[in-house]
Amino acid sequence: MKHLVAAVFALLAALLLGFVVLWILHVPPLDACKGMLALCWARKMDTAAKALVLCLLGTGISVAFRAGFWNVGAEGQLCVGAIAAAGIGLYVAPASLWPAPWLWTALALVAGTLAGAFWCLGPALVRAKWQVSEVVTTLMLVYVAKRLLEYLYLGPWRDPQGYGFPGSAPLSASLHVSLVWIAILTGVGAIICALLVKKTVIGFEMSVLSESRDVARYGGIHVGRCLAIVGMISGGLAGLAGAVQVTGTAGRLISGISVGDGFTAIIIACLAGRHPLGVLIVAPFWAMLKVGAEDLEVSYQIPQAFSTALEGICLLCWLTSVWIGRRWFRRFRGNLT
Amino acid sequence: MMDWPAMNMATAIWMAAVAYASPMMLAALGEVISERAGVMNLGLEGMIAVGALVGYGVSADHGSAWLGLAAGGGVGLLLGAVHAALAVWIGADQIVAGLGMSLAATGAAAFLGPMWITWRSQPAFISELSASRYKALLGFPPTTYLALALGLIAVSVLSGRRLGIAIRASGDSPEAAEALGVRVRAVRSSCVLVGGMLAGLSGAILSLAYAQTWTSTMPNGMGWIIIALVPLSGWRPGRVMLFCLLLAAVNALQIRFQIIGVKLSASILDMMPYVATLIAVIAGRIWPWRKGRWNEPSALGRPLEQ
Amino acid sequence: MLEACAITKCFGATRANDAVDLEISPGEILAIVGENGAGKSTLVKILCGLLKPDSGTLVVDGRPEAFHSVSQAVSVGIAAVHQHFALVPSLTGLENIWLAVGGNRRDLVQRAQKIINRLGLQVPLDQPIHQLPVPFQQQLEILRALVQNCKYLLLDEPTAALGSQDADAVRRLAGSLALSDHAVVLITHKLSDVLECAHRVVVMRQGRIVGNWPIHETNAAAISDAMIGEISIPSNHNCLPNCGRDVVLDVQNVSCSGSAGTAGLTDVSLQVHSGEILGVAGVSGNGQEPLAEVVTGLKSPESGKILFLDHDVTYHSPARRHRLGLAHVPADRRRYGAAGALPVYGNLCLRRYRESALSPKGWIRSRIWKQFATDLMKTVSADWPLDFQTRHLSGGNLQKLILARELDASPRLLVAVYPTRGLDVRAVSQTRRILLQSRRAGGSVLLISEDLRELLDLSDRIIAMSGGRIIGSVEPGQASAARLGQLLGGG
Repeated sequence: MKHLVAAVFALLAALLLGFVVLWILHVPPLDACKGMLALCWARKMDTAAKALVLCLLGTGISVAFRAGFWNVGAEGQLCVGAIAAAGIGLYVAPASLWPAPWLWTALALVAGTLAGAFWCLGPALVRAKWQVSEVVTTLMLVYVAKRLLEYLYLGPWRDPQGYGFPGSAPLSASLHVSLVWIAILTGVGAIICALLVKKTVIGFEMSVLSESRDVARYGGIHVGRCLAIVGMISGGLAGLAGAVQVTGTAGRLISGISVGDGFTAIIIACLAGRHPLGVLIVAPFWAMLKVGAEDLEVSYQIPQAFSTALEGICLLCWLTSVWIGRRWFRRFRGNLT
Repeated sequence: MMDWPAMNMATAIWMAAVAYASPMMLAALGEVISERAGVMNLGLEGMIAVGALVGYGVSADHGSAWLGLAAGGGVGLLLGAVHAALAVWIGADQIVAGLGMSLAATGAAAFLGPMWITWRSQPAFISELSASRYKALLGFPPTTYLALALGLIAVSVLSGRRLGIAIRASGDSPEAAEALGVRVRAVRSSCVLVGGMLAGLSGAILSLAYAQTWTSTMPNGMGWIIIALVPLSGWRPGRVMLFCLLLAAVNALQIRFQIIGVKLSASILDMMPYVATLIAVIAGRIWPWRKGRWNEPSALGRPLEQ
Repeated sequence: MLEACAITKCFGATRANDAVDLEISPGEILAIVGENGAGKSTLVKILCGLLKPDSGTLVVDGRPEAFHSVSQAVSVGIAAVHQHFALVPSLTGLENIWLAVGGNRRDLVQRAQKIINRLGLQVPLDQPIHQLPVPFQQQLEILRALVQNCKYLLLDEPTAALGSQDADAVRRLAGSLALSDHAVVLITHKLSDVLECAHRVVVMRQGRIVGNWPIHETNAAAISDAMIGEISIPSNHNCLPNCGRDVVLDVQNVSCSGSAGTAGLTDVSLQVHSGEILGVAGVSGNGQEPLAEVVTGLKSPESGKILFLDHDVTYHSPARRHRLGLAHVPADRRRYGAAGALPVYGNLCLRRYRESALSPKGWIRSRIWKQFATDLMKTVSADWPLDFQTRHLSGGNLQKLILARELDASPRLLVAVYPTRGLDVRAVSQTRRILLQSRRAGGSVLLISEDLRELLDLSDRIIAMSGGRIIGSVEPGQASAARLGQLLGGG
């Protein structure tokens, strides 16, 4: 409840600020808003796909944050997930897709998940073993993964029939997954994660670990194993998000795979109170903002980075509203006693 | 592109390294100062980005690079104030606050930049900061000397003076420092402000003196690399400057490779600074510095308790 | 003259100070006694400017004052030396004083040196605080107050963490301060402090002053009656010796390195027998905490062997050792003992949450957890709300929680590190009773403590540690404060 109020306040405050900025830039805010919504409706499939990708990323991040593991590199894990899925779809699967296309699709998704999981396992292990800050390592790996993605679609995997267009060859159409399947995957993932953090021993270990590594060690929690599990879940879901983009929406490896969704998901996880199911509520809003931002660019020449700026501002507003909430709560409790 | 007369390859790389290192050093010094006082500033990347944009934009509007530098520093100061308000005064989680700042500021720079900057080739004001104009400076732009001078000031303030002791006390045990009469919140906020100002200034130098133009991807991870280098150097201003130079050398090397056309993709070469940072950070934790008088600020990331 | 008139301070519903009147003049040593929670710490905090009273006035040398900060109190000459020293551990003594005083560094050194010579202090000014033993840190705090020209010195529990010789030195120091026309307020719960050096004693209970006598008009019995009513502190003296001869814990030639400026272990060997309380005496920072960590598995030794119930557990994880029957009451209970953000029941289950009785197939059954926690709380006669956030428990209650959890499955060995540090008299008494109960049930205890009285009261055998080595042991029957003091002083 407390989380919900803080999240709503933060969103409203950020929107208000956004309106003010638009107004300063001589863009009528309400018209812009209407345009954005219209675009979201017109491209509802894109919006839904974006929302699902953000859900997957946000769920993974909220699991990590619950264990006090600051995985801020979901973007990188998404990239390697996409690479792995595309690799399976383009170069491992035979042209005949024998024995069944869906098998190869599933394999691509699994490969993406594993790639993301291992991309995040490294930071988790070095954090467990040598207490290397995962904020730094996961972020550095974002840059590495983005360059790797770029290298592949510009270099060896570039589509020979693409007229020099930057991107890999498209995946065979029978490898595509429908949005329904992605939605099912996302929902199941979120529910499993929610059960994991709330109802299992591992979830309890995570909450002790996030509080203090010392207490965890004292209580006999295997810190390395716990961090490894958390890292693999978090990275795996991000990798799956990447694979889903390749097999579901983009259909190939292009620069549009990595547009900062991994960072947006950090805000989503925070606003959702680090609850995997809360993510499902918050993510669609940001998906609409991100898709709608394209309308701002087309109609009013406002660059799309507007939505990125709004994300950051929303996070700052959220911190402030959590603080205000705490103060009010304290005053309220003070009156009671 | 091998037409650098009278200058061999190593010298060229080092010149480029020093040029890139000076903005890095400034931002890194700011981060050292604010982390010494106990506040992590993960918003560095964003502050540099905004500093770069504002520095270049103001210079372009008013035709003076020096004014641009001042504006970059000023806007960094403002962002620093926001971070100080969140991290010091309301005691918000410094990691989340920093990430928010980073996203907001990089986003703002990328969003306002294209609307503000109109591209021109080599505007006149750029030459104000170029090395060729100052013959006495051994071929380095004046901003390099600015970075060095600020570095020396930071070393002397942090190691000897009462202010430096107060800063370290605020980062090591804020409650004890408060009991000794240090106004910890004030010290921390001013350190974050200085850190923000230096980050903004560093951004302005990056666009005005180093790149001599503005692009929307401007700091391109430099802020994050600096955040990684600060613990690696044991929070010491001298060492952090050295590490900046080394990383800048890696960067210069990789750019040189791209120029002379090494048979490796530009994307792969571009990874080099990040991979180098990763390796260095992990190695730095496996073989840490010998513990001395300058250990990790033990209250880093922890707000002052009431 | 420092006068406090009708000072009242409430925290929520509790009145920590209730119309307290106090006066002290230069040249006098005033002892304030009372159990923790009696309000003496609150009073000190008000006097030195850390807290603002709800009502009442302070008059210093005839002028009414209202402090908004510690520095204001210092500027009129009032300074406090708290139990947890307000010194920055990474800075040197001189830097700490400089930070507080300001001004020219060289003048400061001269002034400090003059005071050091006058009072015969031995504290080095150029070493980082974390390398200094507790008595030196205390001297630095007093030195700082004197450099700031403070006339009124409030010493909060100055002898609590000291051995008897160092405590004597502190009392002598208080005496010489009084002779040089300073007013000294000693907040203490040790009657020896009161009787040996105070001129006047004030007894506090439940926020009120219940006694105010010149020292020659009262005696120990009267003071302790006024102070704690009828609580007695249990001791081991009237228990029958219970020691078996079988060895429970056998530490063989263990060495390890210490952390930041404290001693590690050098070639430490010791044995704990069944049903025995083995006391480890020594000033903290001399290897006691590494010893506890090595025994409980939080730290691996660099060499040597640890046998527990004839198993070689040298490289076993803490969880595995706990399953064998090794329990641990950690020194820093907030850092190690319990996760502050978790509810009480989560922390009570911290040791056994994995067991299939509590979590069948890895699923948490919160009803069973809560039932288990309720049962545990009964063993220490506590009833906190189960969902209460653990960080809001007081020190004494937190220690009770930890003891309940650790003694739950009648462990064979309990490693208790400073188990009564910072607790009030009531909680100390309860903690001691619980430790003795566990011994009576056949468990052994490795009791690490700085409080010699406590060690003498509880232990069957005492060893002394200094600089990471065991420097001697005292067999049952021969133990006395003097013998132990000799041992520690000689090492």
